[in-house]
Amino acid sequence: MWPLEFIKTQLQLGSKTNPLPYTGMVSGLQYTVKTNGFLGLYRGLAPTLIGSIPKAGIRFGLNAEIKGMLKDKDGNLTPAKNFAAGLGAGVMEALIIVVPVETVKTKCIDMDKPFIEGLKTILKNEGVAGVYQVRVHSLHDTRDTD
Amino acid sequence: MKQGSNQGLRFMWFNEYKEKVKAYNITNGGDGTVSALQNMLGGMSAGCFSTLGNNPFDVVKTRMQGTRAALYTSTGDCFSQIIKNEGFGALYAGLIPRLSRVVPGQGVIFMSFEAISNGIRDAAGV
Repeated sequence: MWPLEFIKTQLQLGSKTNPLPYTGMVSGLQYTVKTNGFLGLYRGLAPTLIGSIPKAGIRFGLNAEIKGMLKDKDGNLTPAKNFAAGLGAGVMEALIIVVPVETVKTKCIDMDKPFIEGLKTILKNEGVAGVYQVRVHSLHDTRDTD
Repeated sequence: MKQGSNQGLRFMWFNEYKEKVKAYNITNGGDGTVSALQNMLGGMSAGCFSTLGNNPFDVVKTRMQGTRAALYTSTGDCFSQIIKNEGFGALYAGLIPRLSRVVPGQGVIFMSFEAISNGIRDAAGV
């Protein structure tokens, strides 16, 4: 599935200021294999995979933590408080993990650089702000599937 | 924005579809049950519908995460610049690879969901 995510990102990044050497999905996939080899289709996968490890940890850990804070003295939790704990964990997950992971993924694909080298370039050129873009959008995008 | 519009469109579509198929099955002499294949087709069309609806948000997200994000001052500015400079069609970039991934996936998810919830309903005897 990753090559589809890769080529989607490339096609969406294409514009007048960033013209692409191909016009569609199939020609884009062929061009990438021809110029960068088969593994070129997997650009951006590494930051996404590595980022998905702490993602689940933060979601469940924070959920339990917030639940603990909201419990009444008998240890009970109303459905509304349960929902709040889920929402809080989801929002924090998006802020801490999804936003930087998505941004590094997109920029690695854009610059055609592997994870570590790409990350170094972003930090050098833009500082930490370079990995924290579009907070508003990704706050609603914790599933990261499409 | 993207995720909210996605799920909303998907469930709205799927429920509408189920009602239509039920009515169709009854007029063709069957009872009101919806088959697994019909559920899968419903899920696929729901995936198709929501992907069409929220592709513009996906394009804006990708642009604002790219290396030329500095061109845009905000989400709204990114929308209007894309429409002004590249035309409305640019908001539909990457649609085909998104559809190729989302459509089969949603078909399977909705079919499984219906099968599992029917199974639970039967087991509980309601």
